[in-house]
Amino acid sequence: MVHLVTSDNVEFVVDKEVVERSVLIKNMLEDVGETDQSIPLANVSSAVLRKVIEYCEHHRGEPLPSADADQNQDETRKRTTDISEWDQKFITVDQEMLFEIILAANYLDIKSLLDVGCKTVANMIKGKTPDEIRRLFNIVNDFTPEEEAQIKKENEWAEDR
Amino acid sequence: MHSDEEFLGHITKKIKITANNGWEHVFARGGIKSRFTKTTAVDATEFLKNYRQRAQKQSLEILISLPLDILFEIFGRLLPLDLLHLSRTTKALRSVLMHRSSTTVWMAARSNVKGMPACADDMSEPVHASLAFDMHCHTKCAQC
Repeated sequence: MVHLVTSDNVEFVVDKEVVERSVLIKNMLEDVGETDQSIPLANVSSAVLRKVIEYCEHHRGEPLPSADADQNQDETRKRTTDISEWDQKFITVDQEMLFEIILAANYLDIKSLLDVGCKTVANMIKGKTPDEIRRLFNIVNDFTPEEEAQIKKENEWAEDR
Repeated sequence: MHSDEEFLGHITKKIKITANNGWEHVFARGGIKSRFTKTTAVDATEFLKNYRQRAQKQSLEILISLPLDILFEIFGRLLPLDLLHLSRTTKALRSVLMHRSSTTVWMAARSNVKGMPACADDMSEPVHASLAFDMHCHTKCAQC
């Protein structure tokens, strides 16, 4: 069992097999060896870690992507934006949590979870107009109407103009 | 020619309005209510309470504040037209996507389209994407 302490000081006790889906923690445990000391995760809150552990529990035992298979997988991974049914249900959270999960997956180095998160955001953006994207993420349009008309015609790299 | 000092002479106090203090200044200057009713401090705190909450919940400008590598990870799964649309949402996103260093993202997006021809050497990726997917006319022909 591995002890993890979140940014808001909540301790989680998790199976080694589950928590080792995080490459960060896996490497850490390999470096430190067997220890009763808890691992502080300063970048992850308890609410987010709970979700991350739920994900790791569900995918326990599945083969981890190996480092050298990375290149190949990257290709197929990018091309498809399908998400399995369980993952889809799992990632149906509010946007803030979604981004928190992505950040945590990136920090903890859990490739498959990062993948699910990024795919979800990509699917949200796909096929939307600029205005719809702004509304989706609540970002403010800082272009004037003139600028907006202008940039539609400008598609050159910024430094070439 | 006025010096800056003279020019600003009539201003009694200079304040800096930021996203964080903006509403406080709005209230200090009479608030959002009609100019005939006076905004009280209670109104202000009440409004601010709700505003802050709403702002916090919705400030999903998180998208832009994500680390660039994650942003690129997400954008690499989109289609070229989506990238064009993203580059037209805000100045921040535009400066990221329209920078030459984003070429890989555009290439990744292009590879997500089956059978999309490679980008010509003398053409930048965004121009290529726009030619292929944008709905407006590119050559300034008589009908446009």
